[in-house]
Amino acid sequence: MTPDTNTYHKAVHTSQNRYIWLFVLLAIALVGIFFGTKIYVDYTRAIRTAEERLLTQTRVIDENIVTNLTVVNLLLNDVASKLKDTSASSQLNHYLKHHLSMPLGIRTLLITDSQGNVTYSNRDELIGKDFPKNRDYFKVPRDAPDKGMLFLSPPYTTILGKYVLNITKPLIGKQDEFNGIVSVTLDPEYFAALLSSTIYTPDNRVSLVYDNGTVFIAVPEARIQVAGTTVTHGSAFLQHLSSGRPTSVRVAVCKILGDKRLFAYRTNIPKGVRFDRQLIVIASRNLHEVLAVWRFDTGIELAIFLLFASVSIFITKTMLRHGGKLKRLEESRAHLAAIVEFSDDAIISLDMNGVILSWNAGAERLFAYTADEAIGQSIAMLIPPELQDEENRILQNLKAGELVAPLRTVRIAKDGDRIDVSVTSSPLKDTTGMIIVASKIIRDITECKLAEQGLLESQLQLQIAHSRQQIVSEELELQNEELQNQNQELKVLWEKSRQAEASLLESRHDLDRAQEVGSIGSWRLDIRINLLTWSDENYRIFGISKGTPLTYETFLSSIHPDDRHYVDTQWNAGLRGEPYDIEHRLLINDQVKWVREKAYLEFEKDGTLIGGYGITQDITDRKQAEIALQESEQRTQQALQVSRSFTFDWVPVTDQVVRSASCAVILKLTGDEAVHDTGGHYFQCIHPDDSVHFVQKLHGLTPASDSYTAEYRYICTDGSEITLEEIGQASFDANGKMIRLVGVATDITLRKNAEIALKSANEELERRVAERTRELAASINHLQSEIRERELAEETIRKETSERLKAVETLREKEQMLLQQSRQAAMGEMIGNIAHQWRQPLNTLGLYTQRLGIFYGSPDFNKEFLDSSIAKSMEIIKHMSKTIDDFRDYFKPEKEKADFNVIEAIKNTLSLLEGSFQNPKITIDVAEHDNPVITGYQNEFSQVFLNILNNAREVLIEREIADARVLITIGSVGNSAVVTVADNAGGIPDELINKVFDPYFTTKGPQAGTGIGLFMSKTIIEKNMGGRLTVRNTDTGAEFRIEVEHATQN
Amino acid sequence: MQLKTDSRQPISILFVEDDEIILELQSSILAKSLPDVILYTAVNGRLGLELFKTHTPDIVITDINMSEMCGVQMAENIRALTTVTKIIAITGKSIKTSKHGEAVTICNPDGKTVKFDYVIVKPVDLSELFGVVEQFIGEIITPAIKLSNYAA
Repeated sequence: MTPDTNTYHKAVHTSQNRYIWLFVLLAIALVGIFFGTKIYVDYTRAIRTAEERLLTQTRVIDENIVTNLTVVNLLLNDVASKLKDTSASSQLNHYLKHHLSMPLGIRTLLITDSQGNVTYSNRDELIGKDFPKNRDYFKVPRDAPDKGMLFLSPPYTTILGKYVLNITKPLIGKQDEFNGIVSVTLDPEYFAALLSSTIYTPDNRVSLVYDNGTVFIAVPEARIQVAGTTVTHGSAFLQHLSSGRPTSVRVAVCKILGDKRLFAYRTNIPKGVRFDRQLIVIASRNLHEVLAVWRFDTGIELAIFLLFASVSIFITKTMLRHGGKLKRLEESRAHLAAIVEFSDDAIISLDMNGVILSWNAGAERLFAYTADEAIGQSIAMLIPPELQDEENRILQNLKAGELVAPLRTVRIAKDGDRIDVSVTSSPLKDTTGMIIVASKIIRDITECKLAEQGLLESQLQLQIAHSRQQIVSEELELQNEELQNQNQELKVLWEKSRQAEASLLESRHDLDRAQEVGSIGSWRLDIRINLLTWSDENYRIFGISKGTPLTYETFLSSIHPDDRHYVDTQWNAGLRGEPYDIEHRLLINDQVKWVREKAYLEFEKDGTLIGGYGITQDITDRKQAEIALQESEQRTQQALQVSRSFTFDWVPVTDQVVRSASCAVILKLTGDEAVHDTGGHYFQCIHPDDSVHFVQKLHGLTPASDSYTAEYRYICTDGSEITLEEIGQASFDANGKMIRLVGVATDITLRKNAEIALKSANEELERRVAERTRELAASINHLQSEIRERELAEETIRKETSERLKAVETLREKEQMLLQQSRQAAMGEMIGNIAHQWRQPLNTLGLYTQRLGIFYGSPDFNKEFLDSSIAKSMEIIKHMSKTIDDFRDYFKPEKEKADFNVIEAIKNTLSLLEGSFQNPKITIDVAEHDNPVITGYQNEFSQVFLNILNNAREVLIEREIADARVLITIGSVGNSAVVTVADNAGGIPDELINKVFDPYFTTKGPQAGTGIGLFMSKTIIEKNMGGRLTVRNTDTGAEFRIEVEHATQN
Repeated sequence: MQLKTDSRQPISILFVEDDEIILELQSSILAKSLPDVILYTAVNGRLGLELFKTHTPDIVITDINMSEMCGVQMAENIRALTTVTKIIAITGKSIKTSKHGEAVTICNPDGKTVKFDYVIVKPVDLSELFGVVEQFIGEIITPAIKLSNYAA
């Protein structure tokens, strides 16, 4: 598949997906709209239903109130009319009492005159009193008398502490004069019961409110008594009033309950009754509760919708992904097939019996079998006979599911060639995980193997080179020594050659002298007469006895056979007019003689030879010296060559330099320029850095100090650089001017290089040593700083240890102090308890006493009053006396441990605490499962128990627990008495529960407690009594547990 | 709160005490000793506060340690409504008292401080109590008279 078609398919795929998604999302949106509409409709319905029910509730209340008040009105009218009928006045009190039996909740009914004095009442003790004159229910009708109007008071508390409300009707005379009031006091409980009876849900509240916003009555009064307070939903209430409509429904926030509520208002319009103000009935419900069912339904509907949406999205997504996956699978399969087909490696697959199932192009190339030939055949055909086992082993490993490492081995191609290959085998599994096929990748590694061999060799060479290099430095020392030896030899040779030269010069001199003084053989030839004459000396030279006929042949026969041709040639040339002056050998009586012959031939003008003469000189001695010299020279040259040295001879006046031939190799010169040079040219070739020094050295030579050694670099014509060591000696003329300089120069480049290598090796060594030294120094520094640190740490530890010892000492002192403090605290607490227990009775006693003085003289002060005061005072005094006894017992010090009854001890303590658990009220329940007896100081045990109870009490008060309770259980577990004290104050916070027994731990303010109560309790139980004091949190609060072993029975 | 400008209006006292014996005893003594005063009584701070809201008495005499709203909390609520009312505390605790008639601040359990015009420690010395009450009545009536004079 080409990339283009790929993109195309993808594009088509994407646009198809887009339509499917659009459809699915549209469906989800439609369902969403359906649910949304339903939720909205349900919401409106829920609100409307609640509104209707609240309005119904207000109507019911309204009708009942109206009925009730109408009855009261009728009653008051009745009473008023009875008053006018004077004849009935004698029966009025009886009549009023009769009305009290009516089920209207009437407590008091009274009638006053215009001054507010009670004239009639169903309660005899009120008659004659004038208290109503200060009351609003009298003052309001008096100040604005209106015959038809009823005065309705807010509920209030009477002197006797009763909670009541009042309805009053003015009594208006015939001249509209104010004649007093008739008034009833109603028990608002009656109204409360009426309102309560209409409550239909826990969150439902109803109230009666005056039109000025003052609450007349409200139920239920779960949180706060609201009578007399102002409505808490002010603005909604005002809106209702200003709307002028009898009923309305509003949503507002209740400031007391702090919740959003649905309020229904109904303005009461009493029929036939007229109050001084309007009454409004309000019923409300918590909006949250109203919508509870709707919320629940909405939750379910939303859940269903979300489920639907997510399921449909999931299904769509899965379907689309599945489609895409198949396509990708197909593509990847084609891709893999292409990889296999075009791979350079042979990739084949086998079934588990080793039969070839597939054969790629790489395999065809490698093994030369075509796919048709190979498929169906056994893999064994590729394996050399000696390796047949190998394939079986691989197949077995694959069957066992084991991994097979790539293997280097040999395989056979169709033409029988053995090929080095690497074989990678891996198992192919079917969908159930069964191994069904083995795949193999076979790679030709012949070249790789060759390369490996080459690599191996070069590595070997590298190793050799390396070891050689190591040897070099040792050899260099040796070479150096050798070179010095050779130099020495060279010097000796030089000396010798100079001596040889000197002897040659001497022999030449001798010869010259001999020529002058000695006889020289001579001959004469005359062609015209054909006569050759020799001197006597000539005969002696040639070794021919005098008188022997002389011919050319005679002459020729004396000549050394090797030279005859040369002489013959030279002679014939001489006959043609060329000069004849040759040196050659004679062989006379097997003795070789060297002679020099010189001939002067005479010719006619036409060129015809006419004759000539010549001399013959015996030069054997000279010749032999020459040969010796030559041989010596050769040896010198050889030595020079071997030692890579050359000699030179410089004449400053001519600037000519003559060098030995060995210089050609060293200076890389050829031919004549090697041997002949000028000093100027030679100096130019010296390395500029060295030439100045060298020239200075030469200028410094004097007859007294005429030899020198120098070392300098020489730049060859090809640019290469060699180092030469030169030894030279100068000779001077009488004026001290240098006339000659001779010496030997030796190529010491190799040595120099070796020296440089050695030097650099030395430097490297030095560098490494320096480096290592630096490292060592650094590590020494590091070690030193570590030591310093360790010393510091040790010092710190020493300090800490001494500080800790001091702290332990301080702690011990503190503990002593704590014991003291705890005793004082216990004492203080007890005194506090006594003070509390006594304060109230003392106050009462004081009041009784003082009352006597105040009442004295009044009619109330009689015998009965006095007796009752005295009796009550004595009662209080006795109670106080008993209290002080209890406390004294509690504080009686105990000298010795004694067995005591746990229940008794606890009950005694509880009786002391009675007062402090009354106010606020904390209920103490005691469960006795056993009656254990333990040994110890009972007072201490009581103190612990007191501490725990006091803690519980303080927490219960602090957390304002509504139904505060403490449960004490007394029982036995195994051999121990167990007392638990559990409260319902909510428990100790997790982060503090482990600290409550620490000294000075307190959750109270600094004034409230010392924080050592529980610490001392633990000390008493665990140290003094050998028991255990623990604490844990229960579901409702903290539970302290005291465990002490039973007293031994003896 | 309306300032009582009408001097004809009698002085009213709210007495709050949770011990019923003491409530009865002391209110009977108060009624006997101060016949012209309207006396409201309540057995706890909550009821006392309601009565206060309804009748707005001139003087409040209250116990401190009570169930259902202690005296300090009640006084705190009253002070939030008005600062004119005189509040006298009768306490069983040994705290600083008004030996020279000065005001005393008492800390309530929540840590708030409330200013009491006078503090008496139990057992109550009635002559001390009546002395203070009469002094306060005098203080309440005098500005009222002055105001009415001014108006005239």
